[in-house]
Amino acid sequence: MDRPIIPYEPTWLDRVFKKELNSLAGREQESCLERLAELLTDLKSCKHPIQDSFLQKWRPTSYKGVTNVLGGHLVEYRLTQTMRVIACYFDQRDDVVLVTATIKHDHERMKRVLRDHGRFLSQYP
Amino acid sequence: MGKLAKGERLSPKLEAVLARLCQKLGALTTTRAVKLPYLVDVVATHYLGRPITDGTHQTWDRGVVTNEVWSYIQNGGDIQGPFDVIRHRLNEESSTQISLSGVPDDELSPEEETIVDLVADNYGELDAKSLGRLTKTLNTHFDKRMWGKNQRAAVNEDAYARLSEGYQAFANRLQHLDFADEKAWGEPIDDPHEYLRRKLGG
Repeated sequence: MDRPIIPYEPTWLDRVFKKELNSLAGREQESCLERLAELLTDLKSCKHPIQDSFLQKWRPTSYKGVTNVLGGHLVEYRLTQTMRVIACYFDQRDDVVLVTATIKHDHERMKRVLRDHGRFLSQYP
Repeated sequence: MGKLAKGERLSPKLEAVLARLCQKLGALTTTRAVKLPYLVDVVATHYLGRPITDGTHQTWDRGVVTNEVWSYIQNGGDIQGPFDVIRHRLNEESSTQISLSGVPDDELSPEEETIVDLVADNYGELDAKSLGRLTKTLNTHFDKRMWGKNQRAAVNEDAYARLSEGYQAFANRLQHLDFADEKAWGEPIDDPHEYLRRKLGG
């Protein structure tokens, strides 16, 4: 039976995420969404949100943060170099609550300087 | 490296980074001087694949501190370097600032200079509390007890990814959120592809 994967509405795929996603080029956007769908599919079928071997490609680590979360454990998944998903799971129930997805976009100014100086062209087309 | 001896000069690259920050922002408070070089190295590692300064960035009680800069300021600076370290006394409080009064020995490359400028533009005006919180948020793999233990802070892709607006906004809201509150839960996701198309219009 699938594990329930549940969006936490106040923060999951919120306005900030949509803005960050829209700042990416079309191909990058598609890639991010494809990776996101793949992670959610994996989470649905996992036995444990951190320990399953097939989840290790997402390099899950415990999000300890600077504050304690009542009633659950936070875990951070790495989708791309700069995209992260944080979810919450519980000791006494199966639900995985999707808390936030974030993307750090690159600075145009920096990309321009790197391009002008002939470096990292393959990284910054 | 790490703590500097009294009168010891900062390393050439760290000196050049601090000098550029002073050029962009004017005299730096101690908090800015000890925290902004860390952000410079986080951004530099993403774009250049290496940090610029050779500073030792550590998890202090109020965020990440570059140890060499802290001890340099505490020592009152040095005779040969390009900085003045000035102590102000306001009422019962005292504060220290570092300002540029000369030319550093080393120069930054155009890419390095752009990175320092990005950090100055994006984070240079944050107050002490916000800078402390920001640097802690880049190190969410540590639990609370690690702050004040002077461990090495992350200067890697994780730290860069956590600079995102969404990650910072989430970290700031975290203490007010209750993920076990089912009233805030949406419907379980059945088909992730269909869900994302519906939610994001992709």
